[in-house]
Amino acid sequence: MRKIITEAVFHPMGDGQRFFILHRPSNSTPARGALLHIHAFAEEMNKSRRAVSLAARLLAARGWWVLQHDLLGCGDSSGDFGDATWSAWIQDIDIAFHWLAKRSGSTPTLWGLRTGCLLAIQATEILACKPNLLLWQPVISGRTFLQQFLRLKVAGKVLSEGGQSVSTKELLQTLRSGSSLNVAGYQLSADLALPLEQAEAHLAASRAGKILLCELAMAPGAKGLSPSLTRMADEWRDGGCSISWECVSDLPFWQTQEIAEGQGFRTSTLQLLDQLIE
Amino acid sequence: MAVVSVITSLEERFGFQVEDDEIDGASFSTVGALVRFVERKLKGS
Repeated sequence: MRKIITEAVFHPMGDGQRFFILHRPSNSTPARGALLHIHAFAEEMNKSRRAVSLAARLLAARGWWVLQHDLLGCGDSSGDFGDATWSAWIQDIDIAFHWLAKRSGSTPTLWGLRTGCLLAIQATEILACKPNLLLWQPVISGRTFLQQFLRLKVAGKVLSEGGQSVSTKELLQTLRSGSSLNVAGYQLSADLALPLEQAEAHLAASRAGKILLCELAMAPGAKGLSPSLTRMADEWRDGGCSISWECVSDLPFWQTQEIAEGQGFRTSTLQLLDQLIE
Repeated sequence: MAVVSVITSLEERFGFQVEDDEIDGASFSTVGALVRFVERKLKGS
């Protein structure tokens, strides 16, 4: 593998700092462009750390500037998870995007994983320029994702002996009243959960450049997207977006018990990214 | 928890949402029952 340069930066913000880790090609490798990674949610982020880091390093070795940044309340950035809000995360993306654009001298592609894809899509509304999108196993409905997250608490209550049962509807009502909830060890604020619930993967061609999509193949060698992503891709194409996709034979590294490395996603991504090079 | 994983996978793959009161042991008792459950959800969505 060609040599890469890695820099760790604590970027100052009004409320503290954000942790940035930049992987870039060595000066002898011609730069091909830049990617800003937008990480997954809560435990999915932790599970995917290794796969994302390996992908970032591989991409840097192939000439890409890749920035991983921890959103407010995540990883090594300021705040606890309970301090995180959806609007602060969108603002974090805006700041990291401009930082990377300036450092790399090119318009970064937004590289989302899971709910990071919903954040990337919303961020296109506020970014001054029109980024390309690389979407890894996108969550397409924030409402469904939030319900799945709350279901962890419902299941935990059912399994705990003598625990009082609770429904996802009741948990949603608690959030709607403005209170936060502790779910699977994560303090979830209303200001994070409620905008997540509203987030949907709608995208207009006027806001994004090329869209590259990677989805886990449900069977080895399967070539088609899932029914839900097929609908999403059709909707975007009807809206004038340009989409390319790959079905990936891999493990769902964002949720596996043992840490998986996402080799299939890395390989597919290299193929898709070739389409961004003129 | 295994049932929760199955529900999550179905929701993501097919793009529907399963409510708490629809989670019923009978729907997960056999593959055929699960297929009927998914078909019912797809018609409703």
